Amino acid sequence: MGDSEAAVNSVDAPKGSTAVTANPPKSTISVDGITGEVTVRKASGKVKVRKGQSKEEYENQLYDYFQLNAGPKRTEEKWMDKVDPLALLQEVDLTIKLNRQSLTNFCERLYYQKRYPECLKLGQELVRRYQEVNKKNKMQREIEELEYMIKRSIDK
Amino acid sequence: MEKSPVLIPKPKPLKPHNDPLHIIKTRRTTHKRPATIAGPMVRYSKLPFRQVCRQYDTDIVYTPMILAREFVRNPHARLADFSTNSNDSPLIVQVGTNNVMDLLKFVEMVSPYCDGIGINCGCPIKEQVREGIGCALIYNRELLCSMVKAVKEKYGEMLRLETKIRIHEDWDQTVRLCRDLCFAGVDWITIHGRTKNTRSSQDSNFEAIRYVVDRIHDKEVPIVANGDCLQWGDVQKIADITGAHGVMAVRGILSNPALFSGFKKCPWSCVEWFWYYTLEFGGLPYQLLQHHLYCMLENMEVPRNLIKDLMNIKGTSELLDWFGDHFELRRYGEPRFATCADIPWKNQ
Repeated sequence: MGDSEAAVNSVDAPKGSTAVTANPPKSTISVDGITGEVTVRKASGKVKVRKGQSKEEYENQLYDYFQLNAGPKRTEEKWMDKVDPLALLQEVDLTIKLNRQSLTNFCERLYYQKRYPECLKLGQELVRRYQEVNKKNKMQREIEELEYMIKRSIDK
Repeated sequence: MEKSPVLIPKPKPLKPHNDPLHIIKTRRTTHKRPATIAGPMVRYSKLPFRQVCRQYDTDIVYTPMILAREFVRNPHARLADFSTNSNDSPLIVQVGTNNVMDLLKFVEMVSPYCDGIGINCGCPIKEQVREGIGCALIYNRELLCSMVKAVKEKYGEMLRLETKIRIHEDWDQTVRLCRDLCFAGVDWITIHGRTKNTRSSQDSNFEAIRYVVDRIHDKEVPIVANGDCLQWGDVQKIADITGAHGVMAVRGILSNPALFSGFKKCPWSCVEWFWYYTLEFGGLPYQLLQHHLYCMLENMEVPRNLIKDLMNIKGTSELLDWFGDHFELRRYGEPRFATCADIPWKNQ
């Protein structure tokens, strides 16, 4: 099938929507122009619906993004010098991987900077706290990384 | 308690130093060379890597493609997909989308923190194409142009909007698409000289890009050429063949972030900058860090057995020690940090 035949295909498109056909048209996609709901109809006949977003839902996201977080994450050089990771450790939910990664990164930066006594102290505290929430040993790799830094910091 | 109305910032102001369109249009006059651009790479164009590229004469840097649908709905996606800082400019945020609504929301959220937005119409990955994202859009001219038109009607000259496309088998279709995009108000177009089905092992077709450039000349919309820019010598060659205003490197700059500074091989200084920025900005997922360093060391022709060792390492601190065992890895602030091009082997 040539490219020109795979252009816009408005068949089955609901009101206010556009339809997109991938090339070659193994699937048909209908987009609701108001909510952004996307319906993907695969060649097998299966239909996948990607939910739209209401005005209110979007406004909640805007509030979270602009009002609560002041935009995207900004990491200037030396930003970590202004944060006390031990204080942060008391505030964040350690069952969330992103939070643990962020704390481990403080330890790795200290290791890179050859600040071994500080790395050792933070590493030991992180291991202790991670083990408290380490269900089914899912954090094994993260704990091993910290234990490696602890051992090497003692050696150095 | 009722929420106060959200104050949405305006797009970041465009000045000559950060306006990508101005840079693309003027580099030939001011620098006697085409504009140099580090293109979007899935997973890899994160902030630390972007900052390394900026150290080595890269005029404009892209983020990886960010899916608009996820970004406007999910705070975790926003946190994982986009971080920036005051030195991260000129920056183009590349977006993957298949509808006007999500695109307009995405632009509203991202434009205060970047210098331009690029719509990905080139990604050939079938999972994206199936959803009408990436290069599915070059076969849907009407939708793509309606997206460009909607953004430019809302923001006009306050916001720069680019589309990155691939060529069609029939080059006249690419010409038609580009002319329609110009009419819709796109600021510049990046053209990858491969079709949706061309393998990366096959050469990029610069003649096809030239064919398009010659046929949209009257529109005065600059073209950036993409594909097979693997070393500095390729930059001028590609610009000469295609007549493009700028040249975008992707795989070439992943292996050698100093490509645009004329280094034939990745200089050691890139490795030291990359370690520094990665740890200074708050880390990268380990596999990303490892892959970046693998690409750089391979480009420097470090022996295969050592590279194999590197790939067996499982964590950031162990990798740091591995570098310290084999090389003189200088930390930021230490004498001669990031000044060395040759590999500073230890015990040699």
